[in-house]
Amino acid sequence: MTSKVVPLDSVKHCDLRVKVDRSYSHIAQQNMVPLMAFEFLPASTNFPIVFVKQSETGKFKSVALMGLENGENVVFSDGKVKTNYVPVNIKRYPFSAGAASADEASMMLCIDENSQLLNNSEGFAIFDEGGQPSAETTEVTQLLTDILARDVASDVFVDFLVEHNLIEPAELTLSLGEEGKRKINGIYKISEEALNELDDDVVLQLYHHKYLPAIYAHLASLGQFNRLLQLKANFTPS
Amino acid sequence: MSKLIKKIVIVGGGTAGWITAAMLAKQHCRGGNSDVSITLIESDDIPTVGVGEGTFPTMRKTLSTIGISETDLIRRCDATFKQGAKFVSWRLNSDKEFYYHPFNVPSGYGKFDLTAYWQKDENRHQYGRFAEAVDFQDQICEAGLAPKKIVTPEYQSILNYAYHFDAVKVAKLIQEKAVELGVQHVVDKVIDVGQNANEYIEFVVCEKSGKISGDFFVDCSGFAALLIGKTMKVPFLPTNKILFNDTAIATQVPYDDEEDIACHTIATGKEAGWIWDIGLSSRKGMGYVYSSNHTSDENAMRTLEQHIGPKAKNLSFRKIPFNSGYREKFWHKNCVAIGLSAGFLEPLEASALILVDNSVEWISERLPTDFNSMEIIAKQFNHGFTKKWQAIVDFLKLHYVLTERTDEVYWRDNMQPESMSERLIESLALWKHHPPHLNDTDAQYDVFPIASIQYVLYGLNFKTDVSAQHYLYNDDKLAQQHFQHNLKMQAKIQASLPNHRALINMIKEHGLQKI
Repeated sequence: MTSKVVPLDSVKHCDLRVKVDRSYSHIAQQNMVPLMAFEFLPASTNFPIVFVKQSETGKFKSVALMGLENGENVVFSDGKVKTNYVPVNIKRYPFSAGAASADEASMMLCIDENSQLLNNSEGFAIFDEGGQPSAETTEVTQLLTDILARDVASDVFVDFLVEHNLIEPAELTLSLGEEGKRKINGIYKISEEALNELDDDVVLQLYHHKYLPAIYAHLASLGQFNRLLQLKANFTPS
Repeated sequence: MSKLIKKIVIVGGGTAGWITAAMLAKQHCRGGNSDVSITLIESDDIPTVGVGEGTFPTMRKTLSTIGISETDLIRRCDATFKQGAKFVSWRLNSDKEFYYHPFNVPSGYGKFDLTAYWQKDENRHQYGRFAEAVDFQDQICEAGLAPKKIVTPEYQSILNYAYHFDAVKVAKLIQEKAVELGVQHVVDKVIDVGQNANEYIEFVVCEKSGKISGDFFVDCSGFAALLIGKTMKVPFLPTNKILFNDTAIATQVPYDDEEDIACHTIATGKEAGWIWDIGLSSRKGMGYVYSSNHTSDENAMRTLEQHIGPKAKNLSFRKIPFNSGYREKFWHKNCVAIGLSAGFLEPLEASALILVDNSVEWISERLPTDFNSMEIIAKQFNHGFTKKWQAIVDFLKLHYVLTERTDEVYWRDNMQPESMSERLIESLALWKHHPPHLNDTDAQYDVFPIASIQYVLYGLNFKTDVSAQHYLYNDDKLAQQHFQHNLKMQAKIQASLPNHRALINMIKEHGLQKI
């Protein structure tokens, strides 16, 4: 079902409860999810972290890859979770942060009304009996407020990489056993060659901005393509 | 070795001057790691003509070589994408009559020629106009869509494209890059030219800066032709017996709110010439180019105003008389002419800027080391560019000769064999029984490929009777595959491309990626 993200409304949504689904099945038909720079280190031992262009703006965004074709997720499927790190953008569901106005500093809590996690009997209540946000909702609000700033910081990080010509197309050919070889297009990575040829002052900036761990975590994560292939080999679509 | 060529002086700073300066600097100054210097002298009181707003896909290579960002071009020069030209009312005097000359080549181009198959009645009936049967760009233009997406990197395309842009703003953008690449910019007026006993130019004299000497001079002074014409007296060969147009009235027309921007030049045939309509992002450039022997200025003005409609009331118009033709030589002694100083033809098919691209590419690749090699290179250059100009004149003329507007004097005069070159007459005779073939052009020199000739010929309903060799064209199965493939591609691509204005707005907001 397509999502329908709306601002949370204490009147309209007063009776809603959120089922807790630790298998995150809402992501099972999605092969990538946006990943923020601060998540690169813990994510890098689980999935490939790559850059893709956003279709509305053409701008690069970092994502965690969890499947090798559209609609395929070999990490979250069949009610199983085959990772020890769950990206924030998966965890927060069905909540999301919307900008309240042109002033991006003020965050507005939104919810996907079409989410299967929403119901009137199971899980935690979004609002308490007095119509105030429940403890869980307050916690989510705090998490999302925190993300908002980190998401911006992530975009600044990616812009820095683009500005210094550090991003290049990732030419990936996967051997898929009986299916033969397949080329994957439209994903980008950091160029080790360009990284090694940076001027000293840019390297110093990378260090001061604390970008180096994310950069190397990304490069190391590319080895996880093999893990996806292994998972795919034992994978039966749900 | 004879005298070395180390000091290059460019006179004039329009698009031609600055493209020349930037390309030469890129290739020969090497960021200061060579001993070649480039000086460009431009006067601040001579306005650039700034009418040449349409380009050919070669411009993409030129701009990317210079190092201009395509995003900057879109943002700062009111640039839009151009996927070809739409010719309205050239065959018949009806605004429903049109054909396209798209920049994509026909399906199977160079390997499997679809023209004879397209001429079969059943295929024409099923697949439509030549351009829409053999390619899908025609339909993309009709739908007002862009040739690429926001995720397509700078200068890369989904469908082949060039630009429409504000030439004055482009010259300014390239100027910044050229100066960054090491070009010395002198704002001054050239008042005299000094030659040695062998008529080689030794220096130019400027009003304020005095003498500026050089080894090699490039004349980009526009219609004035300060060096190649005024100083060197290289004769001008008029082409007005072939191409009759000698006057243009130009204007700029505002858009209605969020009006679609055409992704192609629209050229509409009128009683004594044709009207251009070029959509920039900020406004449209429009103008009537006509033969003053076939209409009066008053009538021409009325024709243009009628074409524009009610908006014409508040516009200002500029009349530009011109002599169509080109120099007997473009490179004489140590002076080469690039741009309007080399010649000028009516702005059909954007040929002016193609020749700038071609000339600069040639010269930057083959800049002579010394005066001896210069003589040889100049000879090659003159031979090559005379052929190029002749080919362009023939190609432009081709747009006129197949017209069926026989009740109008201008169009009838255009059909007279006396107004055509021998080569064009021969080619037309050949194409009556043989579809145009890659061998028909001198690929080394012809600016427009056979694909362009096919689009114009068959766009104008030319008949090639292949019945004597019908057995050559019996692979109907393969032809069907090509026609069907085009239909499939069209549907697929049409669904994925953004509206032209929407893409321009997206690029202004987000920019295009370099990769």
